[in-house]
Amino acid sequence: MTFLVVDDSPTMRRIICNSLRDIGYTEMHEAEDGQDALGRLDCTPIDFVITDWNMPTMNGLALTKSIRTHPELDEIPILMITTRGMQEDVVAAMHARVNNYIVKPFTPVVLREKIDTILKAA
Amino acid sequence: MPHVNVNDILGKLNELRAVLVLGRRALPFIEEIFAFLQEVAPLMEEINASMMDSALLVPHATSQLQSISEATRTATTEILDLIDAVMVHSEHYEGALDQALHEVKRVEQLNADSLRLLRESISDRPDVLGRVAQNTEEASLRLHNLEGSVHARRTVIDEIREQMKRIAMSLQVQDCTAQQIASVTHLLDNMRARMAQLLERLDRQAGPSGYKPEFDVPEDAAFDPDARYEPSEEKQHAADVLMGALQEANCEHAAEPEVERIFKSAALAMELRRSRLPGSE
Repeated sequence: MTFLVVDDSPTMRRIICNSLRDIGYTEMHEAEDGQDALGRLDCTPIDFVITDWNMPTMNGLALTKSIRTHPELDEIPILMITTRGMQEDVVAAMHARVNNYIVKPFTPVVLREKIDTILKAA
Repeated sequence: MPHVNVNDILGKLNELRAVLVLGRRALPFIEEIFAFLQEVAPLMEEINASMMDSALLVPHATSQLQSISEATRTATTEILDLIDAVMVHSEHYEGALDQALHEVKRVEQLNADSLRLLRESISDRPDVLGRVAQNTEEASLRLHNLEGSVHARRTVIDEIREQMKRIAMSLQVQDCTAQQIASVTHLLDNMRARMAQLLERLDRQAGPSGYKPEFDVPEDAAFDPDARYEPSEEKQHAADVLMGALQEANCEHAAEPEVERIFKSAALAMELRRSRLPGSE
């Protein structure tokens, strides 16, 4: 399983990648915004996207919408990890068709639980 | 010579007199306004100067905030580097402890084998066998103690690793504070832009103030102004309840009333959860 971790904060990318390693996943790539992520998705086989919401150039919501309209990437699981925890944010993310939603700060337990839920439903 | 109506002249004169009377009555009031303006003018100039000073201070404040953000990011990276180093060391140490446990088991096995061999080969020397059995038993006890000590050290190492992981997860605070700082910086930049506009207008009316804005406020704000570091399960649970309700109702494209209904049921579920938490009355 190859992950793409998208976050403009290097700290968050590192924390998420460390948590994934802790859970048992070893293959992961990083991108610092939505546009960077789309570039990587075009040239690297990715099985799972974990993205932040607030990022410069292209945010996580726009990235999700872009992936969902891409003919070859539209089924890829997307997990959003963000500080935005308002109800309307969750609804907007759901409308953009993210598979699940984590509010920062998160724990590895929650990360594992959400990944497992998404993979079971797939 | 054109014909002039005397009544018209008298009417006009009356109007002029009324104006003069009004002027005489209004004069003190106009004088008061004039005095007030004379008093207010220096104050306005002071406000103008103060605005200019503030506008000039804003870039310093924003640059200081940005440097705080940079410093915390660097410090966080250093802490994560140290955590990684501790994790690698502890992994090596754990490996060494596992190896030690393996060796203890091996020595126990060798002792047992040696005793068995002796029993088979010198069964006619019960005194020697008795001494050897006693020594083997003591060695086994010591090995057991050593094994316990190695297990205890391994437990400590596991705890250290767990705590290191928790420290690393706590560093998510850097992302939250960076977003809060970015939000304040954005606010300051907007204030500065408004001040610049105001000072520009004052410039046009009262001569140049000397302040020239040299920046544009970035439009794509890549931060959450409401970012908070609150390590509680509440927000996640609220998101889970809502997400679950939306998924159950297949509401990816739900209309506003349906979303509102789900909001209400999610809020109710949250209230129920809160009331069930220990200590909530």
